[in-house]
Amino acid sequence: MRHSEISATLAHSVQYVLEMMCFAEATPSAGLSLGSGKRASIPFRGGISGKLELDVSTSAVPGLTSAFLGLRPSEAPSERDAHDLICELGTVVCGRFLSALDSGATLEIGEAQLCDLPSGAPASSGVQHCFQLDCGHLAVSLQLD
Amino acid sequence: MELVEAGGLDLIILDTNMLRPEKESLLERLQRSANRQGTPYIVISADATASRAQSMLDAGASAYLAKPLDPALIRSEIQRVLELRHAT
Repeated sequence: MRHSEISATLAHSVQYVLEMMCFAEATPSAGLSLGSGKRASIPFRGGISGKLELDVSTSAVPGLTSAFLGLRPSEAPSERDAHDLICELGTVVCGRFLSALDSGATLEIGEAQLCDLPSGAPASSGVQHCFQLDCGHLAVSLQLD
Repeated sequence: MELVEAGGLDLIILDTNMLRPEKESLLERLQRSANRQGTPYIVISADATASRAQSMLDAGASAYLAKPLDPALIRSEIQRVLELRHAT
């Protein structure tokens, strides 16, 4: 598959998952700096192997978590819920993307690892997309082995 | 696991992403127990590949649904599985 097709499939997977899980519209935006935030890193192996990273800016985390959990505006999501949501989003984006890429592949999606996204951190190499959300920013990057 | 092994459940919905860290062993135990009790189960997973879906269905799952979930689809699958269970 060509790089452009992989890139388009990845972007569409992110937008679809965000809309379905968090009712969020993700607008592609080039060259965004997320600032501080969290990163979920999801390894996968099989017919296709590599790693997908989902970065969520600090400002976007509460809104996405509340939307996913269906919390009232007066309810603040816990840090644990927020971390679970970022890992879940990353894992679902990864699964959606990989199945769209090759639905017949035998794959194993690993456990998501969460870490802080340091302010000003350089973006990972590979296929990347940045998105503007109502409440912040989100980025995804893909590295294939 | 105790609830599953006790039997009497109408339906089990398994989210495989929530079974970590002993994901595979716990999944196998749940499947064995559900199959032994004759309890239908629906597997939900982020892994949307056809091979994963087929392996779960081969192992006895009544349905396999990939995330993100479509609320209408999961509702109809629950209804289908329960109707099948009550008809047998």
